[in-house]
Amino acid sequence: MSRPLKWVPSELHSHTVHSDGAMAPGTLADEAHQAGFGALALTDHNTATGRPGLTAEATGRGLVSIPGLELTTFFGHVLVWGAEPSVDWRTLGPSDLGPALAALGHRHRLAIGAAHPFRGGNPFCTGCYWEYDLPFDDLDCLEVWSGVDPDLLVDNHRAFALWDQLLDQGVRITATAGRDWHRPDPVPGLRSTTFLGVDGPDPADFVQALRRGRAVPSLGPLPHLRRGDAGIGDRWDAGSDASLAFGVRNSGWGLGLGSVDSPRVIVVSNLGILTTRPLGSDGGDFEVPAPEGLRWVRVEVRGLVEGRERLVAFTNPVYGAGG
Amino acid sequence: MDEFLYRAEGTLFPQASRSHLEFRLFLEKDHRALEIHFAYEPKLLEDPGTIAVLAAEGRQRFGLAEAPDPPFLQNLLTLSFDDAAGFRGAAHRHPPDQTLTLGDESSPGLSPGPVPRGIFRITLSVHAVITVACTYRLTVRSLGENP
Repeated sequence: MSRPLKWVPSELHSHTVHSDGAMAPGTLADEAHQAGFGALALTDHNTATGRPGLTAEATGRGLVSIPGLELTTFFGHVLVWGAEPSVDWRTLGPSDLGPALAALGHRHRLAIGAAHPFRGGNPFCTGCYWEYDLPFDDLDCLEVWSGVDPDLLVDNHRAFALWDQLLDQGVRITATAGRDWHRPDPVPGLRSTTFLGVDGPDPADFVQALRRGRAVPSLGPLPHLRRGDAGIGDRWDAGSDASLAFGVRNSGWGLGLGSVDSPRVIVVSNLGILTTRPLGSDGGDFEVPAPEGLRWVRVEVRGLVEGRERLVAFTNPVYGAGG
Repeated sequence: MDEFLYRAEGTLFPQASRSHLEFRLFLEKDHRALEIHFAYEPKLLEDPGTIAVLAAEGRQRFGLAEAPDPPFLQNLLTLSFDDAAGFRGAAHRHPPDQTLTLGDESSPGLSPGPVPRGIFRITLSVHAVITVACTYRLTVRSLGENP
């Protein structure tokens, strides 16, 4: 049994005045601290000069500073976590990203993801729409939730549908949330985060969590899921006959289940929905047998929030031995 | 003595969107700092009729749902820099009139330090020109040579 992970609410997509954000690094660190994040990746557009200032300010507030950058190209925005990538974004055409990533000497120390893949490009948001023709296997992550209140946006529904399609094709790619944070929050409200399951306090541990699929995008509640020894992002052993153990807890961050009307937990898989259970305001724990033919399985939390039915949280999958 | 180390201006059209212009200049001396002034106009497209046409095309191209047209659309040109020693950063931001410094007190987005003798490369990235035309002006001047 692997040691228990610590699930840290993390912001994975943010900007400062070092690109087109409105906040100085100190302001961003302060806002992140106030919001309750435990880790923050500064992903300025095509530059990492904000990182030393951000790291100093974040560390002083007890936040982990994850190295990051957003390669902001004409054919898609590429989030890179772990180190500054030696990729010249100005040389990339739609077919060039795959070879450029494959040539990186430190690829194993990076997590690389497609940002907001279905946000409209020119003339709305230059280069925002994902047009790269590389296989999604070449990426580690897919930002299926973009924005503070992501389930309101059709772009995100399309990204989520793409993720489902990729999982069914056997592609292992980590779904993430990122608010694409550019300016201070005008009012407190619903706030997305990605809980990352880390087994250490170093920025590299957070990058490895992204690479391994130990990620739970959420507005607050923290769902969990295991099959035997395999947790979120892991593969279960071939021939495993263990059942699926799952449930939801309040994390103390953001939205509590007490603020969700008719909250329920849903187990979703390549075989469709396996079960739906109502939740109390404190969450709950459940177990169901794992059916034959299961290749991936995840947990979703849904309910009514502010009068609207929403996806409130979801885990990345636990994967089958061949999935 | 010429105030400027480099000076250029030009006109870009919508067909130049998603392209880069590169300016390579030879710096004969080491510089303590360079000041780059960059301006372009117009920034905004505010004509509702043209916005309606471009927004409808965009929604169709990207499979987006019907939505109210935005109040304006905008051109976006950005600069990035490479000196003889390597990449010096990018100024990915929206203001259409920017004065950037590359030196010990570099502007945000640009790495600090002097600018050495050799080829200095300015890349003008044309993210989008959505107006009929867009003119730009670019100047570089030294804030002090290093001995």
